[in-house]
Amino acid sequence: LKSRYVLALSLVCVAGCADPVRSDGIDALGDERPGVPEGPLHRPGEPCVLCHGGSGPGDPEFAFAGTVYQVASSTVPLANAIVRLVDSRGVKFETGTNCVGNFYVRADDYRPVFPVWTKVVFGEAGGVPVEQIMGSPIYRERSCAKCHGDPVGPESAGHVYFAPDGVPFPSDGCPQ
Amino acid sequence: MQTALLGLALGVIACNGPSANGVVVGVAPSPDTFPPVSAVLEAHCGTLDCHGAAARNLRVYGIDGLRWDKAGTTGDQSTTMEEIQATYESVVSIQPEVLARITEEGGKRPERWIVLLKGRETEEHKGGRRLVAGDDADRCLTSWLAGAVEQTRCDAAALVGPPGGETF
Repeated sequence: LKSRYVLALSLVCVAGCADPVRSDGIDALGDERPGVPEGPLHRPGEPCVLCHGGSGPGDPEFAFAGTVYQVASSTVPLANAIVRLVDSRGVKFETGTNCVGNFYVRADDYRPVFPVWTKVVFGEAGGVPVEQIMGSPIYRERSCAKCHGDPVGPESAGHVYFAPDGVPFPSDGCPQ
Repeated sequence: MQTALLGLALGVIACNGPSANGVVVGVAPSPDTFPPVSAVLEAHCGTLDCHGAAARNLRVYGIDGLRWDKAGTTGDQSTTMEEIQATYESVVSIQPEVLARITEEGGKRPERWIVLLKGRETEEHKGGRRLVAGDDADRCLTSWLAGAVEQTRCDAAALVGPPGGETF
């Protein structure tokens, strides 16, 4: 009888202890885009760690993830950029953006101690890599899109972009 | 019966807060001395992922977080005087009765105030430890509470950068 009681209590807790804010956030993202399977190319611009935060449903868990775009005024992705991170201890990590601009850092690969600073590096000017450093550190949020959602406004910095409007970029679309 | 009466009396005492329309007029350090403190709060607490958001009780307004002007944008244009004032009003509204006591006592035992309790992570704080007792940011805040802002400490604490500089 005692074990049944414990089991019932556990089930109630599992059912009732889910984070409703996170669940609502995931529901609000909607379905996958037709023709894009779950994987590194899916859901650009969305708050990745909402699902890939370690509590599912996304797997693997990400330490950080996001999407980088070319310019502020459009959502053309910036492929083949390098995203660099350094934490408060000076521990560094870098990864790259794929053809939809997505990048991710697996939690197994990087366990930073906040705050964390980040920059995007792409191309060269006069033989020197061009980089854009984020003006403020990250104190806790692991999804870029949580703070960098569109539209830009009094509580959002807008999507992550690399250069001012008008700067030409190579066309690096995903293979069809 | 005696226990029930005692419980009822304690309940009345414990639940006897301000009236629904009551206004607590507290004593707080002057807003005139707040700008350097605001800059420190912006740097350490005021990003969009922390207190630079409307969802927080303690709101910190500024360039890297929540903007006071609804037409404003995060990351663009420096922090305005209206934003510093709005941050001040938010800060002095947090546990005003405790803040008043600390202010009246010349800034003694500032660790009673929840802003320091949380900032130092003496009390659970989802954002972790953002102040270490005696460091520049902490001294900036406590000196403000004591009525004598240590400007150099505030200036140093307002600059938050990666270890080793921006060459990572």
